[in-house]
Amino acid sequence: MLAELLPEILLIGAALLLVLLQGFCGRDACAKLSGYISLAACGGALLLVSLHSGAGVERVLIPEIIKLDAFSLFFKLLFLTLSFLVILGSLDAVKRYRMGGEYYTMLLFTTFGMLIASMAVDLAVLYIAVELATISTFALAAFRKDRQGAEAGVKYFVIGALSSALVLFGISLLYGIAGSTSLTAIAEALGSSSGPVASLAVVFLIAGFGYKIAAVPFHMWAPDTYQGAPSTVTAFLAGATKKMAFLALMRIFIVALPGLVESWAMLFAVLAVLTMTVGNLVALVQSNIKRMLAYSSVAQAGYVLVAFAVLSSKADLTLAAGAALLHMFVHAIMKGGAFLAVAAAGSAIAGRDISDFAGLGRRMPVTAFTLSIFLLSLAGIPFFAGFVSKFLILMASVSAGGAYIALGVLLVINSVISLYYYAKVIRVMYFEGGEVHRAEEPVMLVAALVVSAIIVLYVGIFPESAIQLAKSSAASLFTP
Amino acid sequence: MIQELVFLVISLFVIAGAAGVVFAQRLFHAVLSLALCLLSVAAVYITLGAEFLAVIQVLVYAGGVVVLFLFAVMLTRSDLQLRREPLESFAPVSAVLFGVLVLFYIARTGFVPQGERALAPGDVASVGQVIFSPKAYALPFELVGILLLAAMVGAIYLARRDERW
Amino acid sequence: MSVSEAYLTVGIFVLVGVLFPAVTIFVASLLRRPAKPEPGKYLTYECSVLPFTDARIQHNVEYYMYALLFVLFDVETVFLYPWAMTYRSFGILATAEVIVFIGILALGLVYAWKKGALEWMKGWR
Repeated sequence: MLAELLPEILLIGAALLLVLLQGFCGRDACAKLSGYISLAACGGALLLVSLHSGAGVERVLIPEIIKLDAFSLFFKLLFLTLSFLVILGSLDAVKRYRMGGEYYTMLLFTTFGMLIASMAVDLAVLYIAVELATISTFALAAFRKDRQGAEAGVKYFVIGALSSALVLFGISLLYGIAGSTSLTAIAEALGSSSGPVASLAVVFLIAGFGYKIAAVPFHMWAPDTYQGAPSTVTAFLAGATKKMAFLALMRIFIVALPGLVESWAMLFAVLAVLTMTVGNLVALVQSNIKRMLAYSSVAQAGYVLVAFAVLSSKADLTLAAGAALLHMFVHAIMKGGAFLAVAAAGSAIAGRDISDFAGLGRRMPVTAFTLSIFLLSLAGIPFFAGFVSKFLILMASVSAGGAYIALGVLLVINSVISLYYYAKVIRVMYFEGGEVHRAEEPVMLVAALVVSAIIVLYVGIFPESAIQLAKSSAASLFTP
Repeated sequence: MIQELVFLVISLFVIAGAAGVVFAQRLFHAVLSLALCLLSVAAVYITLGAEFLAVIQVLVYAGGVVVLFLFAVMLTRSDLQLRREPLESFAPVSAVLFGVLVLFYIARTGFVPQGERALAPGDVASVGQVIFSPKAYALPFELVGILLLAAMVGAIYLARRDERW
Repeated sequence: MSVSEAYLTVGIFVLVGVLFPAVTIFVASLLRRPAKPEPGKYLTYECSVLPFTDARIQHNVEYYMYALLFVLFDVETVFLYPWAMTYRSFGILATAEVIVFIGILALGLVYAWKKGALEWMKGWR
């Protein structure tokens, strides 16, 4: 059992070491050392997980508590990749803003929580792991302790606490029905009966996690938080912690509540329509790039919800769930990358308005180029990763037939709308702004950007292996 | 009969405390009402046989969290008085709607467990058996420790006066 | 005897505890002097010196830090209670779990200590 948990042990060991370390060395040296330690721990964990993921194992580590399957390995890969990239990029940002070494401690705690959440098959464990991950990010969002950061942190904290309470209430109702918090036991107890308590639990769970994934109408905190938090943290919030809520939704609804699929898929369909449309339309009029990306994040969550809605159909469920998984992975990389690019631009540009990015193409060529790649991928242009995953979701909805096709059509329309505001940024970067001089680009951030861009391009051009991985990971959810 | 009576008396205190929190004119009084509310809820837990929950409720909530609230109130400026904004028109409407919804659900169900497993006993010893058994919640128990540590580090970092040094 | 019956004595104790001051205050109100309000009577009594500010001043963040640490270690203590009730049935295992748990939180204490969260009004490290 310990061998399978080695990545987690590595991370938590490093995190605890960092807690100790903060007390015993000066601020800047400490932050630097903490950065390297966390980078090494995260890299090591990533290596261990990627070595593991090929084997296609399914191990029950503690019966009805945690289980290692292809699904959890997929998410571990996602979380660790993004954490690694964010830590790499943060090496520059932490130095620039003279942030404390606690930054990395909190990042490691969050990553550890997310890894445990990916394996949890018990509602209590899942809840604690999700809480561990979110509580650490509250501090991260307000990390700069300036006015904007405080606003970001407070909003995120209040909404986070509210959503956790809703989730907990849903969990307690399920426990009341089943007499157990184990997902499989709940599935057995519920069967296909949908009493009023069970449907109330579904509503509470969807509302609670709806806040965490920032689905419309639970999204209003996201733009403020994403704008006020340090850009590297925003990359992490939008890329990783949001995916953890999706993970929890998938585990709970697919494993514990398959009998109620009709009712929850319906709710997801409604949320998907609202989330896609509102997210994209509001993103159109944003002038601040971080707010624009935040609303784009909202819209992209809507695309994933389309795949969730399709789960009630008679079609190939692994295709729908796999499409959702792939889109989450791709979105994590491209949205994380986009926010990291904003962080990189911050070393030369003070403002965060889209107009401030004028001439970035000549000023910081690598940053601008990679940012363009991420934006095109977010828009879903062919040969970028975003196209592959969106196409997969579209395929799932079309193959399901009936009203699901309408969801797919709406997805396409929304993608077309979104192209406008993504392309606007690229136009501003390359075709506006007068004479500008080259600015030095932060090395570590650029490294993180290049790696993310390579992943986006690789998945876009050679999608087969990624699709295969996503589908096989999703399949493990449906096998008891 | 006597059980219902006890429950009614205790819930009266819960409701009085909760109403005090909402309607108190001074922040300090609101926090004290909260303490009353939390203690009464602990009594409800006792009547339900959830001893461990009651212990937590008294030790952590009525003891610790209320103290934290009081100190947080003391951190604020004293000239800040509670200002009562006129209620938005939709607030009472949505409150009533929510109340009707909850009543509807309470009326529709007997809250009888549907599964075969009975709900676990809530006295401290049985809870301890579950928490410390490595086959059950030993891992989440350690996770809680890590969660508390993360909360502690984050809170100290944020609350610390940040003199740039 | 069920849990709730075992707490009957506690309930009676609470009842007496609430009733005693209530009755005392009520009886005292029967015996009080006639009410003649006067602004001076409503001043806070501070050992015969006239109070010169409101008692509600803005306190330092140190109080809050103490309260915060108190709550966290309070939660820790709560988990020691079931351990104290059951450690016999698990033997060394439960004790090891609790030691790890306390160890993790002790790290937090070391952090707080080193960062000066426990020092009163001193320049923060």
